[in-house]
Amino acid sequence: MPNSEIEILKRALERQVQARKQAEKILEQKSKELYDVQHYLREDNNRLNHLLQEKTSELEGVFFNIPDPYLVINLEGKVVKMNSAAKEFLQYDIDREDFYAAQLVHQDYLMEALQSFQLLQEIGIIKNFKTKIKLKTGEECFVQVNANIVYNVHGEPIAAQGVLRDISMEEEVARLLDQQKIALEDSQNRLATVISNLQFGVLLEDENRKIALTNPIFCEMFGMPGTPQEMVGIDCSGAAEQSKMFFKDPEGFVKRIEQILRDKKTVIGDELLTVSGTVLQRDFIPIFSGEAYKGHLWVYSDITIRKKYKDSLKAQKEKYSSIIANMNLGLVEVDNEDRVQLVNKSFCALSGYSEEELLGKKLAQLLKVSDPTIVEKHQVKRLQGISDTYEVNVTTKQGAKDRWLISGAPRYDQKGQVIGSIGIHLDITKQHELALQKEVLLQELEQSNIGLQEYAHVVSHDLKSPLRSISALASWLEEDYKDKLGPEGLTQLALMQDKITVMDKLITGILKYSSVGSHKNVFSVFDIAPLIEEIKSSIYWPQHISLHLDSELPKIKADRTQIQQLFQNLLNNAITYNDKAAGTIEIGFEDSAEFWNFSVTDNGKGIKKEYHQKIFDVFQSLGDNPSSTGIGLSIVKKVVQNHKGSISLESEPDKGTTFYFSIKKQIS
Amino acid sequence: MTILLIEDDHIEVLKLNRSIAKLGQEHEVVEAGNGEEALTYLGAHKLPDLLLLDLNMPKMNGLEFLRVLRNSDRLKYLPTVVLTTSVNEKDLKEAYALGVAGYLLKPLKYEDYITKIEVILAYWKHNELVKPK
Repeated sequence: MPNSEIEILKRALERQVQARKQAEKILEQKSKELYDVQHYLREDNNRLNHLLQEKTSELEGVFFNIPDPYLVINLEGKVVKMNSAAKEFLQYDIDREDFYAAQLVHQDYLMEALQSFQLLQEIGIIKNFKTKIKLKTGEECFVQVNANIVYNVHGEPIAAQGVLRDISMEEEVARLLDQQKIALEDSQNRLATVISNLQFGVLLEDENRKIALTNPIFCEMFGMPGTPQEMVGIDCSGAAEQSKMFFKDPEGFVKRIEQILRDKKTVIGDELLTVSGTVLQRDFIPIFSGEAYKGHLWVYSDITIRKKYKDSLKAQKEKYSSIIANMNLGLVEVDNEDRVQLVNKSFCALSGYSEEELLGKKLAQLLKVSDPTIVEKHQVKRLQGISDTYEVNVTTKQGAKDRWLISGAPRYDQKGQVIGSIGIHLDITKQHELALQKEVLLQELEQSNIGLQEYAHVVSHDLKSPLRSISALASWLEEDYKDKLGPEGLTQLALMQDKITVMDKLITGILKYSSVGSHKNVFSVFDIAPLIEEIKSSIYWPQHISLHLDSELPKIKADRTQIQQLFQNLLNNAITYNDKAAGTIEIGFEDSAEFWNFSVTDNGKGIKKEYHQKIFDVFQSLGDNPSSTGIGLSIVKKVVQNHKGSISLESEPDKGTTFYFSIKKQIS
Repeated sequence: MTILLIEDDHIEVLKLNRSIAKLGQEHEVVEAGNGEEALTYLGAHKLPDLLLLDLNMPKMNGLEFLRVLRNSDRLKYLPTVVLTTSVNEKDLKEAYALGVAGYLLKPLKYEDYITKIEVILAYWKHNELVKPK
C-alpha cells in the first residue's frame, strides 16, 4: 500500500475523529439546550394553564355580564345559569324555580327548536337561529339564538350556553316589508295587465335606451319579432332607423326622434302618417328621478278615425261658419247672463255696433230692449231647454227704433248643461209697421162699416118718412078732392102712388144690400134642404110652379141668414120671370174638394146673353118688371163673394135660366 | 083714452088725428115734438093712457126718452108703442129691452096705417092699466 494512500486514510480518520468530537460537543450542547427548553416549556405550560383558566372565567364573566340575555343549559335542557338580562327578559329566575329551555319555546316552534338543539349537540355550535318564545307573562316574541356546546377537559360535552336577542321589532318590520312587497308586486302586476291591454302602443326605455316595458299593441304596430316580455332588455338605439319604413316621411321620423331624445322634454300630440294610410299620434314623456334621467316613455295611438272625424267636423264647421257669417240673419250667442259670446256680420249691421263693441256686453241692456222682462222670460225658457220665437223693440247704435223677430234656442256644453242661448235676429221693423197699419186700417174699416150701416138706416129712415107723408097727402087729396080732381087727376094721383111704392122698395133694397157683409159673417152648420122648404113656405109661391130638389143636397157651414137671402132672391126671380103654364124650378148640387157647387134652374123667360154680366150690378133691372129694383141679384153676388165662391149663369131666351154658384168649404 | 103722440113730423100728427076721426072713435090726442116736450107735459098733467113714440127725433130721441121713462117711478108703467119707419135690429132689441109694449112699422100706404092704428087702439082700450094716484 503506498504511503500516499495511508496518508490519505490517516487524514480521513483524523477528520472523522475531529467531526465526532465536534458532534458530541454539539449534541451535549443541544441536550442542555433541550433540557433548558423543557424546563422553560413546563413553566410556560403552567403559566398558560393558569392563563387559560383566567381567560375562561373572564369569558364567563363577559357572557354573564353582557346586556343580551344569556343562558346556560345542561344536556337535559334544564337552565343552569342565566344572567340578569335573561331574568329580566324571560321573567324566569332559576334562583327561585327550576325551568327548562323547552318551556320557553312557542309550541308552533317546538319541533324546530328540538331539531336545532340536536344539531347543536352534533356540531357544537349554531348561529342566528330564529324562533318564537313565550314569556312567563304569556307575551310572545321572536328571538335570535347563538349557542355553543361547553366541553369538559376531556373533550366531553357537558352543557350548552347561548345568547338570545329580541328580534320582535325586526320581525315586525320584515313582515311589513313582505306585505308591502306583495302589495307592490300586485300593483305591478295590475299595471302590467293594464299596459298590455291598453289600446295604444307603449314603450318604456331606461336611461341606456334598453326596453324596460312594452305592450302587444306596440309590438304589433312596429312589427316587433317577439312578445312584449321577450322585448325587455333589447337596445333601442337603432330602432328609429329600423322602423322608419313604416312612415310616409322616414327621414323626418328619424330626425324628429333624435331631436326629442336630445331635448328630453315632454312632447304631446305629434302626428305621424304611416305608409298604410293610418294616422298615429305620438307622445313622449321623459322620466326623471330627482335630477337624474331615468329613461322615457313613448306612447303611440292610432287616431285615424278620430282624425278623419275631426277633419270632417272641421270642414263642416267651416262650411256653417261661412253660412253664418254671410247669411242675412243676425246671429248671436250669449251666455246665461245675456253676455255676448259671438256675433256674425249681419248682426253687427242690424245693431249698428261692431263686433268689439258687442262682445262681452249684456245684449238686452246695450240694445235698450223696450221691455226687458220679455228677454228674461225667454231666458228662463232657455234654461229649461225650450226654443221659441218672440219680438222685441230695440234701439240701434244709430238710435233707430227697430223691431226684431228673435228665434232663440239653448246652447249646451259637452255635458249637456245649458250655457246660454243662440238667437237668430230678423229686422221686421217694416213688416211690423205694416202690420200695425193694417190693424189700424181694419179697425177703421170696421168702424166705418158700422158707421155705414148706421148711415144706411138713417138715410133709409130719412127717405122713407117723407115718402110716407107724400103718400098720405096724396091719399088725402084723393079723399078730400075726389070730385074736383076728375078722372084724370085721380089717375095721376094713382101713378104718383105707384112711383112712391117703387121708391120705397128701392130704399128697402139699398138697406138690405148694404147690410150684407157689413157685419162679420156668422158661420154655422146647417142643412140646405130644410132651408129651401122654409123659404118656400115664407114667400108667395104660385100653384103652377113646381120645385124639385137634388136628393144629395148637403149640410154646409156658412152664414145661414145670407144663404137664405141668396136662395130666396134666386127663387123669387125664378118665380117672377116664369111665363110657362107649368113652371119648374130645380135646385142641383155637386160636391168638389174645396167648394159646394149649387145650381138653380128654371124654365122661364131666359136672359139675353148681353145682360149676363149686367144683371149682377146694383140697380140693374131688365126693365120688364115695374116692381123690380135691380138689387136682388146684386145681393146674391155679394153673398157668394162673402163666401169666397163664384157665380155664373147659362140661359137661353124663352127656354130658361140656370144660375151656378159655389160656396167655399171652411177649413176648421 | 088720452093718447100722447111724441112725433116731430107734423104730417104724422095729422095722420093720426085724421085716422082717429075717420075711425069715428073719441080719443084725446096730445102732441109732443120730442122727448123733452113729452116729459114736460107728463110732469105737469094727468098721465095719458097710451104713448105712441117715434124713434128718430131731434133733441131727445125715442130710446133716450124710454130710458128716462123706465127710471121714473111715476112713469114706468105707461104703455108705450113705438111707431117708426124702418126696422133696425139694434133699435128693435133695445126698445124691447127698455120695456116697450109694441113696435109698429109705419106702412107706406095711408090705408094700411089706418088699419094698424085701429087694431092698436082697440087693443089698448081693452087693457087694464096702472093708474098712479
